[in-house]
Amino acid sequence: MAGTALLRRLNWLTGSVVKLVRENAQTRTIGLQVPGWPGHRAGQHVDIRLTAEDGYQAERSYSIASAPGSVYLELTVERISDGEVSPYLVEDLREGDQLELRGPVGGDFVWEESLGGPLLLIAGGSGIVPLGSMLRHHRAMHSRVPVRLLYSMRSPDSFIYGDEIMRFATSDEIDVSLTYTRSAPAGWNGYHRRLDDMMLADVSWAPADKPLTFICGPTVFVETAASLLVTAGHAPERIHTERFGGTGGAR
Amino acid sequence: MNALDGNAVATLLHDLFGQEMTGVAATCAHCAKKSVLARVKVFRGAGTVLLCSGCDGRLMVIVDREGVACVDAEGFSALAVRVPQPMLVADLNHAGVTAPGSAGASPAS
Repeated sequence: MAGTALLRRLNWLTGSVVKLVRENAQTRTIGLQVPGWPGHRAGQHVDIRLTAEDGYQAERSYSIASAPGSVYLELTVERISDGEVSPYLVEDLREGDQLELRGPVGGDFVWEESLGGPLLLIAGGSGIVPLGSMLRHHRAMHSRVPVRLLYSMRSPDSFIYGDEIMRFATSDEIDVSLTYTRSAPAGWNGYHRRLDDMMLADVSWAPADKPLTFICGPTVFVETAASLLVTAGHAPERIHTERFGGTGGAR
Repeated sequence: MNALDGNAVATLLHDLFGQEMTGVAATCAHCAKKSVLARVKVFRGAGTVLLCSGCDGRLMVIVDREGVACVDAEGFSALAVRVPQPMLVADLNHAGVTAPGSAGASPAS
């Protein structure tokens, strides 16, 4: 943040879509080239604005997926079936299209290498997106901060960044635990249930390790995870949370 | 209705205050709980309401009336919004910049 002006208007910028990656049936990653982009920190988000031909505008927030300093700004968007913005971004947007965005915003749900750890990252569904940016930042910095990731998803077909997360799991610093809340892959012998106190006790750091924790997902998921950690003796001020609302998410 | 948190209104608060606000320290006037704005409860409808995560007391109501934001910040006993330091005392390495989430501004020297 050094050198960043304290007061800065969030002006609208225009990004060009340079890359589109299908993550799963509901989710797509959008790579953007954004002239004038001021840079971001892992965990922040942007607002996207769509304008209809009649002038009607809709604005929504999306978490940034890419690491700070990466070539393109990447957003991963999950389609909300009755959404005004996400169906367009996930189904209709094409390479070469322009998108209006502004940001980045967010100052609390942010991790950078200098904040240290150990890190505990807990994702529910598409809550993996800002945590993905943190993991990519961790890799880009060759960080030695130990990380434990717990990623809860409905089923294998809702996995986001599957291959990349399994590659992260091969590093010495990053432990990955998955839980499937509905259907698990054939032969799966890992967690196959909703997050609970036993699971958290297995995968999280001991309170004495004073982990820095980031939890992102649907509101109920986030509040369950945070209150279980506090009950287990973790310091509330070390737990950072970001809620999507609902059960699927506005983001 | 499910509560969001202060992260969901980061852009709105940035528009109102001209700076990143989710890491700003706030004290609830109802129960004296100290927190940062990212951690308050947020409900969005015709307007936006911020509630204390400790006591559900109303902290702030924001309503957009034809492009004019009406802000009622009745529930804060303290809101530590940073202001740029005067250039005369600014050290270029610390010019009004403190790490978001850190408590308070750096001491003026």
